[in-house]
Amino acid sequence: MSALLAESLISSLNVDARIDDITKATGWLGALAEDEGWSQATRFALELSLEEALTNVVSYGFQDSTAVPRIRIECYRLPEGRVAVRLIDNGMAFDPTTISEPVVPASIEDAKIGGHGVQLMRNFLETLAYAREGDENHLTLIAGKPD
Amino acid sequence: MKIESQPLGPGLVLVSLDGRLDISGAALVETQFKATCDAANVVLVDLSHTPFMASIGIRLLLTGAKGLRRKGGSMHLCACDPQVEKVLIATGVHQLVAIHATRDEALAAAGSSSGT
Repeated sequence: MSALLAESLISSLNVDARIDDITKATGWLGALAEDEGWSQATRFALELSLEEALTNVVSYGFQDSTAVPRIRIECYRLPEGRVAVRLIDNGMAFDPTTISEPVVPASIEDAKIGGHGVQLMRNFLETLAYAREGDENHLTLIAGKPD
Repeated sequence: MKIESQPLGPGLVLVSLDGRLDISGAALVETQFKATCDAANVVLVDLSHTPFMASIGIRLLLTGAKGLRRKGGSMHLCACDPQVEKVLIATGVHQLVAIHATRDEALAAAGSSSGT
Protein backbone atom coordinates (compact mmCIF):
# COMPACT_ATOMS: atom_id res chain seq x y z
CA MET A 1 0.00 0.00 0.00
CA SER A 2 1.48 3.31 -1.05
CA ALA A 3 2.00 6.00 1.57
CA LEU A 4 -1.11 8.02 2.30
CA LEU A 5 -0.69 11.76 1.84
CA ALA A 6 0.18 13.48 5.11
CA GLU A 7 -2.05 16.45 4.28
CA SER A 8 -5.08 14.18 4.00
CA LEU A 9 -4.77 13.13 7.67
CA ILE A 10 -8.00 14.11 9.43
CA SER A 11 -7.20 12.97 12.95
CA SER A 12 -5.26 10.44 14.99
CA LEU A 13 -5.71 8.73 18.34
CA ASN A 14 -3.43 6.78 20.67
CA VAL A 15 -5.06 4.02 22.72
CA ASP A 16 -3.96 1.52 25.33
CA ALA A 17 -4.09 -2.26 24.90
CA ARG A 18 -7.28 -2.69 26.89
CA ILE A 19 -10.85 -3.65 26.01
CA ASP A 20 -12.34 -0.33 27.17
CA ASP A 21 -10.23 1.55 24.64
CA ILE A 22 -11.87 -0.32 21.75
CA THR A 23 -15.13 1.49 22.46
CA LYS A 24 -13.21 4.74 22.94
CA ALA A 25 -11.71 4.27 19.46
CA THR A 26 -15.01 3.51 17.70
CA GLY A 27 -16.56 6.50 19.50
CA TRP A 28 -13.75 8.71 18.20
CA LEU A 29 -14.37 7.39 14.67
CA GLY A 30 -18.13 7.96 15.01
CA ALA A 31 -17.51 11.60 15.93
CA LEU A 32 -15.28 12.00 12.84
CA ALA A 33 -18.06 10.46 10.73
CA GLU A 34 -20.44 13.15 12.01
CA ASP A 35 -17.97 15.97 11.38
CA GLU A 36 -17.03 14.73 7.91
CA GLY A 37 -20.54 13.72 6.79
CA TRP A 38 -19.73 10.13 5.84
CA SER A 39 -22.53 7.94 4.53
CA GLN A 40 -24.10 5.44 6.95
CA ALA A 41 -22.50 2.59 5.00
CA THR A 42 -19.00 4.11 5.20
CA ARG A 43 -19.36 4.85 8.89
CA PHE A 44 -20.66 1.36 9.68
CA ALA A 45 -17.94 -0.36 7.62
CA LEU A 46 -15.13 1.57 9.32
CA GLU A 47 -16.49 1.36 12.88
CA LEU A 48 -17.05 -2.37 12.44
CA SER A 49 -13.63 -3.01 10.90
CA LEU A 50 -11.79 -0.90 13.47
CA GLU A 51 -13.60 -2.72 16.28
CA GLU A 52 -12.65 -6.12 14.84
CA ALA A 53 -9.03 -5.21 14.06
CA LEU A 54 -8.45 -3.52 17.41
CA THR A 55 -10.07 -6.43 19.27
CA ASN A 56 -7.47 -8.73 17.69
CA VAL A 57 -4.59 -6.40 18.62
CA VAL A 58 -5.76 -5.86 22.21
CA SER A 59 -6.64 -9.54 22.80
CA TYR A 60 -3.69 -11.27 21.12
CA GLY A 61 -1.11 -8.75 19.89
CA PHE A 62 0.77 -8.39 23.16
CA GLN A 63 0.07 -11.85 24.64
CA ASP A 64 3.63 -13.17 24.16
CA SER A 65 5.30 -9.82 23.73
CA THR A 66 7.55 -7.96 26.13
CA ALA A 67 7.08 -4.69 24.22
CA VAL A 68 5.38 -1.76 25.94
CA PRO A 69 2.18 -1.50 23.84
CA ARG A 70 1.95 1.43 21.43
CA ILE A 71 -1.29 1.57 19.44
CA ARG A 72 -2.10 4.46 17.14
CA ILE A 73 -5.07 4.99 14.84
CA GLU A 74 -4.98 7.46 11.96
CA CYS A 75 -7.85 8.55 9.75
CA TYR A 76 -7.35 9.91 6.22
CA ARG A 77 -9.59 11.59 3.68
CA LEU A 78 -9.02 10.01 0.24
CA PRO A 79 -10.18 11.13 -3.23
CA GLU A 80 -13.69 10.27 -4.47
CA GLY A 81 -15.26 10.22 -1.01
CA ARG A 82 -13.21 7.30 0.25
CA VAL A 83 -11.92 7.16 3.81
CA ALA A 84 -8.90 5.25 5.14
CA VAL A 85 -8.27 4.18 8.71
CA ARG A 86 -4.79 2.95 9.59
CA LEU A 87 -4.16 0.91 12.70
CA ILE A 88 -0.51 0.84 13.81
CA ASP A 89 0.71 -1.33 16.70
CA ASN A 90 4.00 -2.72 17.94
CA GLY A 91 2.55 -6.10 18.91
CA MET A 92 3.47 -9.45 17.42
CA ALA A 93 3.40 -9.65 13.63
CA PHE A 94 -0.10 -10.60 12.49
CA ASP A 95 -1.42 -10.31 8.95
CA PRO A 96 -5.21 -10.74 8.97
CA THR A 97 -5.32 -10.69 5.16
CA THR A 98 -3.81 -14.21 5.20
CA ILE A 99 -6.69 -15.65 7.26
CA SER A 100 -8.77 -17.88 5.02
CA GLU A 101 -12.49 -17.33 4.56
CA PRO A 102 -14.49 -19.60 6.88
CA VAL A 103 -16.78 -22.12 5.23
CA VAL A 104 -20.47 -21.37 5.77
CA PRO A 105 -21.71 -24.29 7.88
CA ALA A 106 -24.56 -26.52 6.73
CA SER A 107 -26.29 -26.55 10.11
CA ILE A 108 -26.33 -24.68 13.37
CA GLU A 109 -24.61 -27.63 15.07
CA ASP A 110 -21.61 -27.15 12.76
CA ALA A 111 -21.56 -23.37 13.08
CA LYS A 112 -18.38 -21.88 14.47
CA ILE A 113 -19.13 -19.47 17.29
CA GLY A 114 -16.08 -17.26 16.70
CA GLY A 115 -13.65 -16.24 13.98
CA HIS A 116 -15.94 -13.87 12.10
CA GLY A 117 -13.94 -10.66 12.53
CA VAL A 118 -11.73 -10.86 9.44
CA GLN A 119 -14.67 -12.16 7.39
CA LEU A 120 -16.62 -9.02 8.31
CA MET A 121 -13.73 -6.68 7.49
CA ARG A 122 -13.40 -8.27 4.04
CA ASN A 123 -17.12 -7.99 3.42
CA PHE A 124 -17.53 -4.37 4.46
CA LEU A 125 -14.29 -2.81 3.19
CA GLU A 126 -13.16 -1.91 -0.28
CA THR A 127 -9.54 -2.59 0.70
CA LEU A 128 -7.90 -4.40 3.61
CA ALA A 129 -4.10 -4.10 3.37
CA TYR A 130 -1.31 -5.14 5.72
CA ALA A 131 2.38 -4.29 6.00
CA ARG A 132 5.00 -5.05 8.65
CA GLU A 133 7.13 -1.93 9.06
CA GLY A 134 10.05 -2.47 11.46
CA ASP A 135 8.51 -3.64 14.73
CA GLU A 136 5.03 -2.44 13.76
CA ASN A 137 1.90 -3.87 12.14
CA HIS A 138 0.28 -1.40 9.76
CA LEU A 139 -3.27 -2.38 8.86
CA THR A 140 -5.11 -0.12 6.40
CA LEU A 141 -8.90 -0.16 6.14
CA ILE A 142 -10.48 1.67 3.20
CA ALA A 143 -14.21 2.22 2.74
CA GLY A 144 -16.53 4.56 0.92
CA LYS A 145 -16.36 3.52 -2.72
CA PRO A 146 -19.20 5.50 -4.29
CA ASP A 147 -22.10 3.36 -5.59
CA MET B 1 -26.80 -1.33 26.11
CA LYS B 2 -29.99 -2.70 27.63
CA ILE B 3 -31.80 -6.02 27.41
CA GLU B 4 -35.42 -6.71 28.20
CA SER B 5 -36.99 -10.18 28.30
CA GLN B 6 -40.74 -10.54 28.06
CA PRO B 7 -42.46 -13.95 28.32
CA LEU B 8 -45.09 -14.35 25.59
CA GLY B 9 -46.23 -17.89 26.26
CA PRO B 10 -45.01 -21.27 27.50
CA GLY B 11 -41.31 -21.42 26.62
CA LEU B 12 -41.64 -18.41 24.29
CA VAL B 13 -39.74 -15.23 25.15
CA LEU B 14 -39.31 -11.91 23.37
CA VAL B 15 -35.89 -10.35 23.92
CA SER B 16 -35.39 -6.69 23.01
CA LEU B 17 -31.79 -5.54 22.62
CA ASP B 18 -31.34 -1.79 22.89
CA GLY B 19 -27.97 -0.30 22.02
CA ARG B 20 -24.75 -1.10 20.19
CA LEU B 21 -23.89 -4.80 20.23
CA ASP B 22 -20.15 -4.18 20.28
CA ILE B 23 -17.56 -5.52 22.69
CA SER B 24 -18.69 -3.36 25.62
CA GLY B 25 -22.42 -3.69 24.82
CA ALA B 26 -22.21 -7.49 24.58
CA ALA B 27 -20.51 -7.66 27.99
CA LEU B 28 -23.48 -5.84 29.55
CA VAL B 29 -26.20 -8.11 28.15
CA GLU B 30 -24.40 -11.46 27.83
CA THR B 31 -25.40 -12.95 31.20
CA GLN B 32 -29.10 -12.16 30.88
CA PHE B 33 -29.21 -13.17 27.21
CA LYS B 34 -27.67 -16.57 28.00
CA ALA B 35 -29.96 -17.10 31.00
CA THR B 36 -32.99 -16.27 28.85
CA CYS B 37 -31.93 -18.74 26.14
CA ASP B 38 -31.25 -21.39 28.81
CA ALA B 39 -34.71 -21.00 30.32
CA ALA B 40 -36.74 -20.68 27.09
CA ASN B 41 -37.49 -22.97 24.18
CA VAL B 42 -38.16 -20.39 21.49
CA VAL B 43 -36.50 -16.95 21.63
CA LEU B 44 -37.56 -14.04 19.47
CA VAL B 45 -34.91 -11.32 19.33
CA ASP B 46 -36.08 -7.82 18.39
CA LEU B 47 -33.16 -5.91 16.85
CA SER B 48 -35.05 -2.73 15.95
CA HIS B 49 -33.01 -0.76 18.50
CA THR B 50 -29.65 -2.34 17.69
CA PRO B 51 -27.94 0.04 15.23
CA PHE B 52 -24.55 -1.71 15.33
CA MET B 53 -23.36 -5.30 15.61
CA ALA B 54 -19.80 -6.64 15.60
CA SER B 55 -18.54 -10.25 15.62
CA ILE B 56 -18.97 -10.36 19.40
CA GLY B 57 -22.72 -9.98 18.76
CA ILE B 58 -22.65 -12.83 16.23
CA ARG B 59 -20.94 -14.93 18.88
CA LEU B 60 -23.67 -14.10 21.40
CA LEU B 61 -26.51 -14.94 18.98
CA LEU B 62 -24.93 -18.18 17.73
CA THR B 63 -24.17 -19.41 21.26
CA GLY B 64 -27.80 -18.84 22.21
CA ALA B 65 -29.16 -20.37 19.00
CA LYS B 66 -26.99 -23.48 19.37
CA GLY B 67 -28.20 -24.04 22.92
CA LEU B 68 -31.83 -23.64 21.84
CA ARG B 69 -31.37 -26.03 18.92
CA ARG B 70 -29.82 -28.69 21.18
CA LYS B 71 -33.05 -28.89 23.14
CA GLY B 72 -35.28 -28.77 20.05
CA GLY B 73 -36.01 -25.03 20.24
CA SER B 74 -35.19 -22.16 17.95
CA MET B 75 -34.21 -18.50 17.70
CA HIS B 76 -35.91 -15.90 15.51
CA LEU B 77 -34.48 -12.46 14.72
CA CYS B 78 -36.58 -9.54 13.57
CA ALA B 79 -36.57 -5.88 12.52
CA CYS B 80 -32.83 -5.64 11.72
CA ASP B 81 -31.15 -2.43 10.63
CA PRO B 82 -29.96 -2.93 6.98
CA GLN B 83 -26.27 -2.76 7.98
CA VAL B 84 -26.84 -5.20 10.85
CA GLU B 85 -28.61 -7.55 8.43
CA LYS B 86 -25.53 -7.31 6.19
CA VAL B 87 -23.42 -8.46 9.17
CA LEU B 88 -25.77 -11.42 9.70
CA ILE B 89 -25.61 -12.37 6.02
CA ALA B 90 -21.82 -11.90 5.73
CA THR B 91 -21.29 -14.33 8.61
CA GLY B 92 -23.86 -16.86 7.39
CA VAL B 93 -26.12 -16.41 10.42
CA HIS B 94 -29.16 -16.03 8.12
CA GLN B 95 -28.68 -19.64 6.99
CA LEU B 96 -28.82 -20.89 10.57
CA VAL B 97 -31.28 -18.58 12.31
CA ALA B 98 -34.57 -17.30 10.85
CA ILE B 99 -34.60 -13.54 10.10
CA HIS B 100 -38.00 -11.86 9.83
CA ALA B 101 -38.76 -8.36 8.57
CA THR B 102 -41.17 -7.49 11.36
CA ARG B 103 -41.93 -8.50 14.91
CA ASP B 104 -45.40 -9.72 13.84
CA GLU B 105 -43.93 -12.05 11.23
CA ALA B 106 -41.44 -13.35 13.77
CA LEU B 107 -44.23 -13.85 16.30
CA ALA B 108 -46.28 -15.84 13.82
CA ALA B 109 -43.31 -18.09 13.01
CA ALA B 110 -42.12 -18.35 16.62
CA GLY B 111 -45.63 -19.03 17.88
CA SER B 112 -46.11 -21.93 15.50
CA SER B 113 -42.69 -23.42 16.27
CA SER B 114 -43.27 -23.23 20.03
CA GLY B 115 -46.63 -24.93 19.67
CA THR B 116 -48.55 -22.14 21.38
